[in-house]
Amino acid sequence: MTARSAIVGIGTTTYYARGQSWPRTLHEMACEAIVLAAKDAGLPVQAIDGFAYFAAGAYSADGVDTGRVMESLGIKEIGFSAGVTGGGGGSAGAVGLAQAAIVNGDSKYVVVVQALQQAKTRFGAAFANMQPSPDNSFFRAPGLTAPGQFAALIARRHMHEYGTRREAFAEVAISSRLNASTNPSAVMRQPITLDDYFSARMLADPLCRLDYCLESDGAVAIILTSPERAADLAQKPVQVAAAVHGGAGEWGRAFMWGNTADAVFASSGHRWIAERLYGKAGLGPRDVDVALLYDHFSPLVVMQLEDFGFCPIGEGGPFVEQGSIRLKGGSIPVNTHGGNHSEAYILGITHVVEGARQIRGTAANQLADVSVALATGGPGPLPLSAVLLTA
Amino acid sequence: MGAKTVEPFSPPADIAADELTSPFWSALNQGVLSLQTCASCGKFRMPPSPYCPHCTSTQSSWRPLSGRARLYTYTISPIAPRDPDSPVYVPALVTPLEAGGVRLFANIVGCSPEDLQVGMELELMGPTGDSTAPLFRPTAPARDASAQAGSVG
Ligand SMILES: [Zn+2]
Repeated sequence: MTARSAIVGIGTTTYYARGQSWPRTLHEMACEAIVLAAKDAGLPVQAIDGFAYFAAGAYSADGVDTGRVMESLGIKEIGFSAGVTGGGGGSAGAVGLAQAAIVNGDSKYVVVVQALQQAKTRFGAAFANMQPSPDNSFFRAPGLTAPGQFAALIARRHMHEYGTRREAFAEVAISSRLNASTNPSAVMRQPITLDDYFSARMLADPLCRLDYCLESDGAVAIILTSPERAADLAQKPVQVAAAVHGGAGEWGRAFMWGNTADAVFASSGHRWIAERLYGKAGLGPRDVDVALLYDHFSPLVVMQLEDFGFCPIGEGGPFVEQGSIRLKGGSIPVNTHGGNHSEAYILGITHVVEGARQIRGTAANQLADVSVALATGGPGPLPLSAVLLTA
Repeated sequence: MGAKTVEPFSPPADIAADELTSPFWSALNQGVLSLQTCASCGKFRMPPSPYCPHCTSTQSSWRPLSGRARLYTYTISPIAPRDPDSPVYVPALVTPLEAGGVRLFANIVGCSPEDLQVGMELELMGPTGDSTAPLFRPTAPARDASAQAGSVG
């Protein structure tokens, strides 16, 4: 399948631990990422004529605003400004949204932007800060106040159905941190051991502190254009082989619904996404050289490995425990940058950045001969998303 | 987390209700588990919603149930996360026996964390103290529930 768009520019700010970016502002960090992405692409920043977002305004009252960015950077005109609905599930989907603008002829150079500054409202307590509503009262009354507790409900069910062990979740945390230890942009670089994992505080049994992603500040910008225009720019183009956002109604709101179909309850919700993504690209799990899997909670990485076909359903636990996701010697290296667990959590868009860098050959932990990279968004309420990037 | 008895979530969350959801909370205040069912096809749904997802009917009614249920999945969290000796509570998904596999969020109480088993039988407790959550307790001493795993587990 011929790609219809390519990633041509990447810009990232420094990644900070939550709250450490002050007195910088969200707007200024977003502008810096966009300027750096344009420079990376070899484009004047004013060439950008489209904006694609995800989780727009979902968690932050002062999110990135297209008009204000245009004002600051002197961008003359835009033909597109839209966001994928939902939360972090749409991160990879924003790449597809940018492609839609390009294919439709609305814009020539579209930037995907995400910026996060968590000093005011902590993500980890996202539901505790909600005002009571008729809908959220059903989960707030029993004290489901944090996303990690919903992930724990899914993890427990996976352990029950398939015999998955906490050692598998530990391996996700340990291997992510090991990868981060040699990535200079990672926030957390001190390797951790199985002992560290089992002595970490239980927050939502079976999840302990080390099963959770970081809470971070920072901004990321990714510029896409048509494959034809990409050929004239500064970097080796990263082709978008396929980008998908959506999902199955039986998964639905997942976490906050509680009535996900029994057959997919103990999953990442990604089986629908995987089938459509591989079908669109004409590729399969055996073609994927590196998997950047949205890792807000480590058990959901185990389930994504199953849902994207790297191992059979239910065998994700033994699969990771035997070292399959390791940077060195793994059959499918996962989160080579350290992921949301150890590099940074900018709502998952850093996975697309790492996928593009692995294809370019410029990743901090560069793998040999990468021709196909998978990056995912979610698992959480629909839409979920994923993208396959190729050289 | 030691051999503590699990407690209801506290401090109790404020409940907001509207026309669609208030029958659930009113019944719960009387110690009764009542769920919304479709007046056309009879299927249950949870949480309450304006349309039946099976037949798109907007006609519904509320059916009181026995309050017996099975534990579908659960987590254990400290009530005071910064206190290592904090009491714990158990947010859970439970499957009422008569509701066709529909689940609801609840707290499990009246046992220790070690007694919890996916698939175990539960019963609704009457209104307890200040808690606003549906509270379920084990109906019998915990036993191996693996034989009961499955679609209604
Ligand atoms: Zn119906």
